[in-house]
Amino acid sequence: MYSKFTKDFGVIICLYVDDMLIFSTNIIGIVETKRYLTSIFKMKDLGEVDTILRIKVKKHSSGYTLNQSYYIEKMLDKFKHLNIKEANTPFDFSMKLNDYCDKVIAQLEYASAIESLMYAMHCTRPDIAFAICKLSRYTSKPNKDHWKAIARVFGYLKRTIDLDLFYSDFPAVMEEYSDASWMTSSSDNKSTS
Amino acid sequence: MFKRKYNTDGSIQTFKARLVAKGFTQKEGVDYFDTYSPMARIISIRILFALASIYKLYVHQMDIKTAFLNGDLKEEVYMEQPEGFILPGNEEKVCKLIKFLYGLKQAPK
Repeated sequence: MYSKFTKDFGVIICLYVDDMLIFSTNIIGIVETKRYLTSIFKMKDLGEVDTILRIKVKKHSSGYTLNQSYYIEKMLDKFKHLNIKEANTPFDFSMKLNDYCDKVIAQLEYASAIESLMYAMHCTRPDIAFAICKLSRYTSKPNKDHWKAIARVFGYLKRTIDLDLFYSDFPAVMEEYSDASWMTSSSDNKSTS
Repeated sequence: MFKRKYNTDGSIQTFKARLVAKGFTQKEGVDYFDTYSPMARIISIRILFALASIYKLYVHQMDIKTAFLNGDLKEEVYMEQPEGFILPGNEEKVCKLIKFLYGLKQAPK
């Protein structure tokens, strides 16, 4: 990541191997940067940002949205044998997850599923963070209940595949919510907040 | 290395040829010193978009053509003449590489 700030403009360049994003405070900065770069390298000008790392970027009057439906679709296809049913929420609290193990099922694949979901979570889907946090605790010994829970997260993504992550121009204000659950961990009576 | 590029209907669109170096014969400390490529973390990209939203920045995108072949080699690397392109009378000679080539350990820099 490189940046340059002059009295006329500020430019930040974000490089990902051969893909490049140019952020600028005004259009002059963009034009200047492009002209300089094309004088040195063979470059292709893709105009306004559209897709970076398979994340679709859209500009709105009040900010930017990021959407990763392409990746999620691929992921759903990779795990379609889980018999995914659409769901409205990522996590079902009535489900009891135990860490003592009756029968470990496909541990390696479970880890891979968690990893795939975690990538989506990091990029554009913070809404599944809680479910992933819960489910990743059982990565070493997943049983059929954990698989059922993870299929639900996939089901939730399937229903909400078109949700965008929206960055608005509203000034950044931190808001926090917290909820404590009373003894939800059935095996050791721990609480989660 | 040769590759056929197909159209979506299965017909052949173009033939692609690419010269690839045998990077696996390179020795660390002799032919190359460090190997890395520039990668922005996804978190940084997201933060930049958040900033872009607040400060109403312009965001444009560019793609570097044949990015791998743009870099200049700092180390001295030699390779055998590619098959089919051997200069008659110069069979014993080798090529000295000036630019990066696909397959080299240091290429993605």
